[in-house]
Amino acid sequence: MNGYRRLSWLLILLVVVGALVGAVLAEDPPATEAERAYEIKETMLCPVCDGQNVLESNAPVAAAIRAQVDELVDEGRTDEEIRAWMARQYGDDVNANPPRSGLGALVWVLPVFVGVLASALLVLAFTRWRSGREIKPSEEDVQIVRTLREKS
Amino acid sequence: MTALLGTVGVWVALAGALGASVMLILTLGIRQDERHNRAFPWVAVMVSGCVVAVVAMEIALLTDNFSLAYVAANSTKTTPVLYKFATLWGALEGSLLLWALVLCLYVSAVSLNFRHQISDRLVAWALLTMLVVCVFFFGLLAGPADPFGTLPNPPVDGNGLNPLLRNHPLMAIHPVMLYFGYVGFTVPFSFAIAALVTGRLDERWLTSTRVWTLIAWGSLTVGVLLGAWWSYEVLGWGGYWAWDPVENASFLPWLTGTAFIHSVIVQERRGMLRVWNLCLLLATFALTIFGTFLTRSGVIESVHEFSASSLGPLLLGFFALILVVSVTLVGLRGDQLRSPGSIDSPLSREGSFLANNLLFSLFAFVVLLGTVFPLIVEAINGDQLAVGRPYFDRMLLPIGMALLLVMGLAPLLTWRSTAGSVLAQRALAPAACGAGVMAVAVVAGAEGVGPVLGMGLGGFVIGAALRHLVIAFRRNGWRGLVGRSGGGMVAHVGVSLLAFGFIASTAFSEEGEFQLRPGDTGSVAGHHITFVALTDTMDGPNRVVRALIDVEGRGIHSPAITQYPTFGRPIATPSVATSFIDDVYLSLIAIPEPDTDSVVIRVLIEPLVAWIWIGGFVIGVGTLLAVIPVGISRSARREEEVVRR
Amino acid sequence: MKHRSLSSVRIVSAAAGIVLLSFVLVLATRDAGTGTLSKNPLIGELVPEVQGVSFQGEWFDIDDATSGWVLVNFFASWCVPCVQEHPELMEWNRRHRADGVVVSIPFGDTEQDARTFFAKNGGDWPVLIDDESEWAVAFGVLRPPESFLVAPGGTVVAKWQGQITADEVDRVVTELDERNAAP
Repeated sequence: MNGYRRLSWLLILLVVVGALVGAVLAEDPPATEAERAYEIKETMLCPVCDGQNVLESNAPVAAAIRAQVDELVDEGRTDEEIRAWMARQYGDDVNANPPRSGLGALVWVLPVFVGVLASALLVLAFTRWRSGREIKPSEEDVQIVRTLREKS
Repeated sequence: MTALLGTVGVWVALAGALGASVMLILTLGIRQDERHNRAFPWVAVMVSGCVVAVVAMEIALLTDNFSLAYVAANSTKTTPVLYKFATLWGALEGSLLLWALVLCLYVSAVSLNFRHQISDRLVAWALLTMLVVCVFFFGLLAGPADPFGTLPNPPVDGNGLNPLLRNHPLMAIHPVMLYFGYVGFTVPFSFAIAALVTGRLDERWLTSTRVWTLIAWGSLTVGVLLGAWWSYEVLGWGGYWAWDPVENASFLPWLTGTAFIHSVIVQERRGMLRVWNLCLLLATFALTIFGTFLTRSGVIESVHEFSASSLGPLLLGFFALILVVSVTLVGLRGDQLRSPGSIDSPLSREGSFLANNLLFSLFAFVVLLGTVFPLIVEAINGDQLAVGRPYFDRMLLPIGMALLLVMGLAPLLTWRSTAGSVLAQRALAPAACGAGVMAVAVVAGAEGVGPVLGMGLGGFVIGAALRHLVIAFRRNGWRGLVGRSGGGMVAHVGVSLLAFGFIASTAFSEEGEFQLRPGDTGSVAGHHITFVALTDTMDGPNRVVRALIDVEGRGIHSPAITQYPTFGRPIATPSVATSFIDDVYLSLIAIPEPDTDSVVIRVLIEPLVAWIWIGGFVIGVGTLLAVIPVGISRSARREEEVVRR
Repeated sequence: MKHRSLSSVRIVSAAAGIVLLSFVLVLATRDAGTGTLSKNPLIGELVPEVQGVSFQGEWFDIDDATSGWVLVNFFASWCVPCVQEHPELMEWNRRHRADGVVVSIPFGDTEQDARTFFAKNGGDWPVLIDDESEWAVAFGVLRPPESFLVAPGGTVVAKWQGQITADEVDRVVTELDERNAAP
């Protein structure tokens, strides 16, 4: 029975690994120009439409940015150049990704910090609970037992 | 006349709320038990006043009474009746009126439910807390957000709502569901405050509010998902969730509320996490008020935002008051609430609940941080930056995956401690289910480690939930499927279905844009669409241009663009040819030039989207099942006694 | 042990309270509706390149026009303020026949509609089609109407978001003329 179960787990593991390998192999080759442009448009916010990205927005300015992104990608500009140009024209908040330097980087760092801290506290709590499991009788308990014994 | 009726209603309601509060304060202060019932007549006054005000507003809306500023600004003669009715919650003042009405419903339900226990100080304090919230909202309606302001020279016709808000029936129900969720959390919040004030450490307040919390949670879940569905059907970009500040505002209380409905089980079973659970409830309610502040103050720009108003400082003040009261009470009483218990092993049911809470709190923290971060940075150094969808995707997807893993493991674990061999035996079938889903996904064309792993975890969750349901059904018959654990597992199945839909539609959608003349065919991802004809008609004052598109195997669909005379740019309405496998999402890009016969059609193929809505429905069903009271089974009771001892 | 746990709850809640209240303070000091409007980096800079064939069929290059004033106007036929400001543009054009020119660029509009708009509302100045939206992005246009005043010499000196009047544009023109004349 146990051997049967071990076999089943092995089979499951095989299927999982096989599926993941298949998933990696099926993945597209590195980005084409069109995909690069798509990615830029997806991560760029339309300056007048309250948080919608330029890919999805119908606003004229979004259409203008889309057209220019296509044009600049065609010209062979790098992602960074295009983003910097748009940020200069429309302000830093056209980039949906907050910056990775300066004060803005805090938004990336803080969650990781909080997550690690909270997990550490949880682990600490577990170890404390664990060590506290062999409960020693408190002095009060000993006293109670003693008086009971004396009574009997 | 209607305006007068409404104003009187609001003031009567305010008086009722104040009167009931005073009566409760008197009884709590003087401790004269026979006075207790005097609060209830005042509650009745408040509820009647509120109903009168809402009825007055509805009459004004339905009879096109444009002498009311609210009606003139938000309705028109040509608005269909359903949307006239729904205009009550279409704009700022009216939505607060609906908020007050829902609050009144909850207060009357609580009053009825606890009418014999009002001499209990805990119940009295809870009712008082709720009434203070009522006083605040009726205070807003009586002054700063008066929905019954009149115009000296009423216009012949009103302006009408933003057309986006009146072209889909979902808009009529989504806000109502959302408010039932939002406002519903007032009840457990009030009981939490009451427990802190009275210092009642037992678990009774929890069991008193369990059903209320679940109803609020279920409504909020369904409300948020209906909102997503509305975005999908109406906005035309093929998405349903954009991590927009207003969406986040409705999502935050959901996250803390979800953490609570899980961790409260640990408190009921093991008597632990009391402070934590109180904090979650306090945070959930504070976040609903915070969300109200965000959407109604104009500090954050969002597509869904109400017009900026002067309510900002008032709502912020109320938010601050809640924070001060909550933090002070927890600080003063927290030490009394500390629980004696301990957790034996991380590999146990309670261990998984702790992991769940850690992940949900972290999730909520990331969402909150991302939402308010631009404001904080601007306050510190004046920089303007944006935190958009890529940030939320990158930060939250790993947390979401971890949550799925915990969700699958939790039902397999026993209380106190689980041996590895037991887990290996119990996890076998669910793991096989997960592996099967992964294999099917890859064969069906899924790619990338993240999405495939996510779908596998979803399969694992479904396997674990079904295993639990099957065992419970064998043991207790249909009764095994109701109650918290049965309903909870049904909800887990719903969440996994939703996860499938979410993962597939974000990771594997495909897009194409075609310029088509009548008879032309375009194809994306194996779907062929043929442009049949263009129609150009007048619907009342609005010009509607429709493209009739034949989606192979799914009939004719007609994405449209409508030009409203009172609204600048034309509004595009997409059309979705849906199926259980994938949606073909069609939108018309622009009104075609008059001298050409071709149209530009954007086609999105989004796999499994339908399962998001199905999953939402299943979660709703699960919540209803969980609300049904079920006697604790004998074995569970025995276990509980052991624990208590 | 008991004493320690008592104070830890207090400390944690006090800390949480301070963080939350400073958060409220940040929110309280934010203005409602802080926008991203009119942060135009163009003022003081040389005007971006604008050239092409106008609706009248003539070649236009902004560099040839910067001997005088140039008023670059982005508009759309569907935008109500654009319709309303059109007579003002006509008026400004009439006043500055000698020393200036208006250039209109449709933004978020089709060529067909823009042509109809000019046929209906008049205006004989150059209208150029911004094919790849290059100019719109170069000027950082957000929503029509938007107008840029280019001083003789080719420097952008003013930008208006929304409807303008001939008098308002001339106020800036006179101000700059006086400033140049003073020293």
